[in-house]
Amino acid sequence: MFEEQYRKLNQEVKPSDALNEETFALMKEAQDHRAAMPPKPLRWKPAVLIPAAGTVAAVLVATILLAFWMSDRNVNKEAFDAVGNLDEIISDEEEPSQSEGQEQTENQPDTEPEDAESSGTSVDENQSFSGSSAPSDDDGKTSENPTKDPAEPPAEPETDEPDQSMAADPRNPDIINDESTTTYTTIRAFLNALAKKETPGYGTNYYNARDLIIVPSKLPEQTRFRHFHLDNKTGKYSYSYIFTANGKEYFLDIEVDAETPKTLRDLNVQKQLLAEEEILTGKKGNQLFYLFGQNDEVTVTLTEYLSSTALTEDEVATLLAQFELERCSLANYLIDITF
Amino acid sequence: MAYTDEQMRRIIAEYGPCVYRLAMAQLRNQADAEDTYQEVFLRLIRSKPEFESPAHQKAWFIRVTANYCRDLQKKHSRRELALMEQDQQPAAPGENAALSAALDALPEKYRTVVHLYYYEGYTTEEIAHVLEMNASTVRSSLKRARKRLKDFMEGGKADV
Repeated sequence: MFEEQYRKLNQEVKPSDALNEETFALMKEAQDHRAAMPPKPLRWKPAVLIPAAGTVAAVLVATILLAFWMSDRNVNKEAFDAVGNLDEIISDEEEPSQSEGQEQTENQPDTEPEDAESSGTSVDENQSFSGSSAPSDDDGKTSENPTKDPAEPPAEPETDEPDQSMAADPRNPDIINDESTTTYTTIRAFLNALAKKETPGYGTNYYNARDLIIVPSKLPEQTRFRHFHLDNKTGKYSYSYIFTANGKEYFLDIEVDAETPKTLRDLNVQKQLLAEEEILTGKKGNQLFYLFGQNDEVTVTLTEYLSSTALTEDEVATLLAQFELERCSLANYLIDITF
Repeated sequence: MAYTDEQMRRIIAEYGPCVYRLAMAQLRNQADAEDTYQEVFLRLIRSKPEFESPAHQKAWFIRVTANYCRDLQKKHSRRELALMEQDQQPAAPGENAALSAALDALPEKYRTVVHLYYYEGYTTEEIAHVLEMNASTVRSSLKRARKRLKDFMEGGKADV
């Protein structure tokens, strides 16, 4: 009988204890991660719809009040026509009522507090990671805020400022997307994307990437995390940092050309090889070269931030001596990398 | 609702074999089945569905596994599939080898239905409900799968 044969064949198929243990660990990690996650930032739909609904509601109220006042005035007109005091009464009433109506409608487009709130979550994160920002990131943000009124309270421009420098996408200021690259302006945003399995470059194997990621183990003092770039097609990634030394600002770019294992089996094989993995390093000019194992190459480039001035040999030697890379699990490394 | 360690272990022990067997039946590849296995349990943590009964919970696992396997198969290019041939389980000895080869040759769309019908013991109506398919589609899939298996196994060596 086919059924018996099929059953017999499948009865032998069972998950291994190692797989069960690994799955349990992942579940636990995912649960802990979710519990530690901050509340989701307001997404673009509510961010637009809530102020819009508020505006519409306020306009409706103003219209109703106006209509009520008009009808009231007509009643008054009829009433006062009879006694001949209409002009006096209307001129007394009209002025304050109109100005009150104007005040109300001026205050209606109250979209900014919502925007400020949603960008407010990014402010804390970005401030702690990014510090100064490149002028090239300024594009587009202001044009996406056409309702912004220069006469608004001073608190709002203050909260908008980091957004303008960091994010082109108002939906999630920590993530910048273009056709081929996703840029995460905070490690937290990148990790959240990994946890939500939204990282296109890694597809379903995000845990594989997390377990084998190459990150700095040592950085110069006062280094600030800048960006995490991820190529959506190849899965290659790069970090950048900014740090200050000798009164100058430097830019450190770490470009990783590593292949993410496609399957759990490949991952396990690679993890077993890690203990014996040889790391070769080389140096040329302002660049350090790493070779992890046989295939995974990393290029570290040091430049002066926003300057094309060539660095001296001593400068490069001193600064790059304060830098080291290692391969590790990003989940375990989270605290160290997000200083 | 957060699961305790004990609950997580119990869920893995209770539904793990079912999920793994279905993934293996569908994907015919150990590495992918292991990925699917982990992904399904992670989805449980992420989506935290509420279940009315153990049967409902098992149906959820089966549906998520089947859907994930289908998505995974869509993603694989021909080249990747060719490469994965190397990863496949070694053929079972004797009669099982013929059956295993027949199942390998069976189109992916029929494998889940065959597995749920012959191994899990679901009726065609239940399969239709779990997989959110039409019952007549399930029946016709099962019929075609049987015919293909029978044809493959040299004209009825196995009584399909």
